[in-house]
Amino acid sequence: MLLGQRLRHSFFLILFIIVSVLGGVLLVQQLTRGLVLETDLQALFPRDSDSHLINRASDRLAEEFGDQLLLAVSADEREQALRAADKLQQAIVDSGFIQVQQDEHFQSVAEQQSLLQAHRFMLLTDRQRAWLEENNQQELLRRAQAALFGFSAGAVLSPAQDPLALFGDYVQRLQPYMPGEIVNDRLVLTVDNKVLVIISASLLGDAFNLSIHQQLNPWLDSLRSQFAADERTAGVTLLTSGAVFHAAQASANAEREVAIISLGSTLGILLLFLVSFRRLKPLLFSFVSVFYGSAVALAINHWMFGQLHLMTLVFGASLIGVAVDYALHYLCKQQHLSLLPQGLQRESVLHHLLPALTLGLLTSLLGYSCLLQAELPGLRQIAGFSLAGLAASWLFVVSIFPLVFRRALPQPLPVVQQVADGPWRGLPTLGKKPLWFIGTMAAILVVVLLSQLRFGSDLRLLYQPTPELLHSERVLQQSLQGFAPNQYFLIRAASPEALLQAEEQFRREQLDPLLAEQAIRGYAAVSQVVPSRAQQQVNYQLQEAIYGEQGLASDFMQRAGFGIDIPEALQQAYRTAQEQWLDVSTWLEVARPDQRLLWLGEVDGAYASLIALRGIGDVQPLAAAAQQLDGVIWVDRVADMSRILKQLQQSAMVLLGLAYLAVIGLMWLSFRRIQATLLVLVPLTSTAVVMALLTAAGVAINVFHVFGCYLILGLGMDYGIFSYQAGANDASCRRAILLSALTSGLSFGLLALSSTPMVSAFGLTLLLGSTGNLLFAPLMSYLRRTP
Amino acid sequence: MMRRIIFSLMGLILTFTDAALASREDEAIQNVIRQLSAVTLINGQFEQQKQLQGLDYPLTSSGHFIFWKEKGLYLASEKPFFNASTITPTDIIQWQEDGTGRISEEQSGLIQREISRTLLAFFSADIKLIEERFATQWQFEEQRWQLVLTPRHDMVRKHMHSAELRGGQYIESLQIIGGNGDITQLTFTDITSSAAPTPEQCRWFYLSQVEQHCAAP
Repeated sequence: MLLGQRLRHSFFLILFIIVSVLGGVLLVQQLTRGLVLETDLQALFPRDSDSHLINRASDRLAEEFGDQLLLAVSADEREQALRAADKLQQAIVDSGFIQVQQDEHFQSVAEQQSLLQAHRFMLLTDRQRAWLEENNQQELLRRAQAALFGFSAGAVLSPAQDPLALFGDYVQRLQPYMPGEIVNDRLVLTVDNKVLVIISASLLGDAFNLSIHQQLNPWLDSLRSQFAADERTAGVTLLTSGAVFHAAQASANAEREVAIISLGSTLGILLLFLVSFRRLKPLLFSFVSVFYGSAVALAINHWMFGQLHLMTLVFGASLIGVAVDYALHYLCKQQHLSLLPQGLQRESVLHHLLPALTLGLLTSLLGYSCLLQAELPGLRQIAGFSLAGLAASWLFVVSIFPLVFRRALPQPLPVVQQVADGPWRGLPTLGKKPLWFIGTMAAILVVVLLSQLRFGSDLRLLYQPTPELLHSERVLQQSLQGFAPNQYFLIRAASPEALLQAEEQFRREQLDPLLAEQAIRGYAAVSQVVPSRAQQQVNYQLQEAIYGEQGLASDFMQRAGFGIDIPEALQQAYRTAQEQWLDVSTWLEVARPDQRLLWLGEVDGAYASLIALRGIGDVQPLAAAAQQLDGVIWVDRVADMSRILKQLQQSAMVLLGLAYLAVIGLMWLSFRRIQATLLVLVPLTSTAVVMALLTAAGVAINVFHVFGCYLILGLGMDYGIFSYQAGANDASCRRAILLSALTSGLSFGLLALSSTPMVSAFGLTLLLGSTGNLLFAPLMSYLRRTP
Repeated sequence: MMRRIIFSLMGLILTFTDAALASREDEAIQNVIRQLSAVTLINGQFEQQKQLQGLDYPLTSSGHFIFWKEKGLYLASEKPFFNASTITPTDIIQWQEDGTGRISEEQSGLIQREISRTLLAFFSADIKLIEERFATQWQFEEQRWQLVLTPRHDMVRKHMHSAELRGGQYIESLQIIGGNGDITQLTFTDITSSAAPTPEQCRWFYLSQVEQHCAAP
C-alpha cells in the first residue's frame, strides 16, 4: 500500500519535472522572441466562414482604415480653433508615433485628371449621356455658353479643348467628397455653431500595438492641458476618431481591470489564508501553485497560438480563484490529519484526497473542453489557458505539496469553522416539512422566472466605448459624412468587363433610385470613373454628334468667334482617340487609396469590387436591392456580428447540455451509483437560480452568461464531489469548500465590476453561481447516507 | 570712426523711413478694407474679357452684376448670349432666361467652393480670409489701389495661378489667371451702392421662399 503510494508520488514528480522543463523551455523561447499581446477585440470573432470574399473585403477595409485617424479641435471662435490646430499640429510632429497625412489625395486628383484627359472622348456623366441620347442640344449649348462666357475660374481644360465643358464636369466628381473649406492645408467646418478644424493623420505603426497605446493617452492628456493652460485656446475640445483610440481605451481598461482583479483577489486570499492557516508557508505555496499553472498556461498558449489575447489574460486572472481550490483542499486535509494521533505519514493526505482532487480536475477539464468547441477564437484560447493552467496547478499540488508539507499545520481560527459549518447546519435545523415547503416555493419561483427568460446578442457586449469617445466619433463622422466601413455592396462577375457592366446595371436600376429617395446620401464605385468597354463605346459614339464633321462643337465655336483651325484640331483629336480604352488597371495606378480599395480584383477565380455608401438611412431597402441582381451581396458587418453572437449562444447552450451529460457519464463511471449522478444537481440548480435572478433583474441572457455557466458546472461539481465523498462529518472538507467558494467569489465578483459588458456578465454569473454552489453542495452529503 | 557713426545714423534714418512708409501703407490698406467692407450691396455693369490659350483674340461678354455682402455675387451677361449665375458661399445657381434657376451640381466640388468663397472675399474685402489663402502684395497710387494675390495652397494654384484686383472706392476690376493659362478679366462700371436690395435684386439670391426673403420693406 505504502509502496504503491510512493510509486505514484514518484510518477507525479517525474511528470512534474517533465512539464516544468518543457514549459520552461517554451517560456524562455517565447520570452526571447518577445511576447505578442493581442488587444484587437475583432480577433475574438470567428472569420466569416460563408464567404472568403467578404473577409477579403473587410481585410482590405481594415488595412485602409486601421492606421488612419482623425484629430480635430472644436471651438466657438474661428481664431481659437485655428490657434489650437497649430498646437495640435506641433504636438503631432513632436509625438513620434503619429504623422500628418500628406496631401497625396490632391496629388492623385491631378494625376487622375491627366489620365482621364487622355481618354476623355470615352467618358460622359449620366446627365451628359442623357442629353446626348435625347439630342437635347439646348442644354448642351447652354452649358457650353456658361463655360465659355460665364465666369468660370477653375476649369481644367480651356474652352478651346473642351468647348462644351464635358470633361470639366466629369472630373469635378472625382474630387474627394469634403464639406467645409481648406485653410492652411486643414479642413475647417462649421457644425452646430462650433468651428471644427480637422487634421487627418496616420499612425506610424499598428493600431493594436501596446507601446503606442501607452504613449497615446498621456499624449492626449498633455495636449488637453496645453489647450487649457493657454487662455487663447482655453475651452477648446479635442475630438478623435480612429481604431487606435478605441484599441488604446480597451487595452487601458483591460490592464486596469487585470490589476484591480489581481490585487483584489490577492488581498482577499491573503486575508483568508492568514485566518485559516495562520502561517505564511501555505499561502506561499498556494500562490506558487497558481503561478506555476499560469506560467505553464502562458507558455503553452503563446506557443500554440503565436500570441495571447489580452482577454485571455483578463479571464486568466480569474483562474486564480479556481486553481487555488486544489491547494486549499490539500491544506485543509493536512490540518485535519494534524489532529489525528498517528501523526502525519508522508502520503496520507494525498491518499485521502487524490480520488476527489482528480475527479474534480477531470470534471472541470471536461466542462472547459466543451468551451473549446466554441467558434470564438478568443474563447478557445481562454478555454485552452484554463485547461492547461488547472492541470498544471493540480500537478504542482499533488507532486510538490507532499514534499513541503510534512509537519502538522496549526488549526484555523474557530470563526472559520463556524462559518464553514453554516450551510451544513442551517438545513437540518429547519426540519423536513418547512424544508420541502421552502424548496417547492423556491422551485416554482425559479420556474416562473425561467419562463420569462430573454436572450440578447447586442454587439455592445463586446466593447462599450466611453461616452466622450463615442461623441467625438459621431461628431467627426457626421460632419465628414465619410463612407461606411461596415456596410457596403459586394459585386462579383466572371471578368473585369462583366463586373463593370454589372456595377453599371446595379447603379442604374437600384442605386440611383435609392439615391433619389435619399435612402443613401452618396456612393462610390469604380464604374463611376472607369466605365465598362461597352459603355465607353456608347459614350464615344454619342460624342460623334459633338466632335464629328458637322458636330455641335464646330458650329458653336465658329459662332463664338473661334478660328476654323481650332474645331478642326478638336475633330482630329476625337478621331485619333477611337478605341483608346480606359482600363481599370491603368486607373488603379493613379487612384487614391480610398478609391483603390473599391476594386478587389481576382478572388477565387472571379472578379469582385465593392460599392461604398455614404449617409445610410434604413438598411432594409439596401438589403432588398441586392436581391434584385445576381452577383450582388449586401454586406452588413454589424448585423453579421450580432447574428454570429446569437449563433454562438445557441451552440454554447447545446454544448453546455452536452457537458452536463458527459459529466453525468463520468460520475456514473467513477462511482457506479445512481445517487452519484445526482451530483450534477449542485451546478444545475445554481445555474437555474442564477438565470432566474438575472431574469428578475431584467437582464437579457447573452453568450457570456452561458460561458459563465461552464465554470459554474466545474466549480459546482468540485464541491459536490468533495461533499459526497467526505460526507457531512468532515469539517476539513466544509472548510475547504467555504474557502474555495470565497476565493472564487472574490475573483469573479471583481470581474463583475468590469467596464466591458461581456467580462462583467461572465463575472456576475460566476459570483452568483459560486454562492449557489456553496449553498447547494451540503445537500450532496445526504446522498451518501441513503443506501 | 566717423564713418561708422554716419553709417549707423544712416541706418537709423533708413529704419525710420521704412517704418514710416510701412505704417503709411498699413493705413492705406486699412482704408481700403474699411471702404470695401462698409458696402452692403453694389450693382452695376460689367464687361468680361477672356483670353484663351491658343486663341489670338479675346472673347468678350457684358451684362450687369449685383454683389450682396454675405449672400453672393450675381453675374448676368446679355451679350453675346444670355448667361446668368449667382455665386453663393456654398453653391452656384444657374439661371434660365425665363427666370427659373437650379443649383449646378457639376460645380459643387470642394475646389469650386473654395474658388467661390475666395471670389466673394475679394468683394467684401474679407482680408483675413484672403490672407489665409493668398500671399498679398499691395500697391497704391493716390486714391487708387492694386492687390496682387498668389494662392498659398497647391490645390488652388492648379486652378488659379494668380489674381489681381484694382479699385478706388469700390472694386473696379478683377483679373484671374487660371491654372490652364486662360486669363479672365472683369471690369465693373456704373457702380451704385445701397444699404439693402430691392425685391427685384433680392430674388437672384434665393431659389425657394423668395417672397419671404425678398418682401418689400
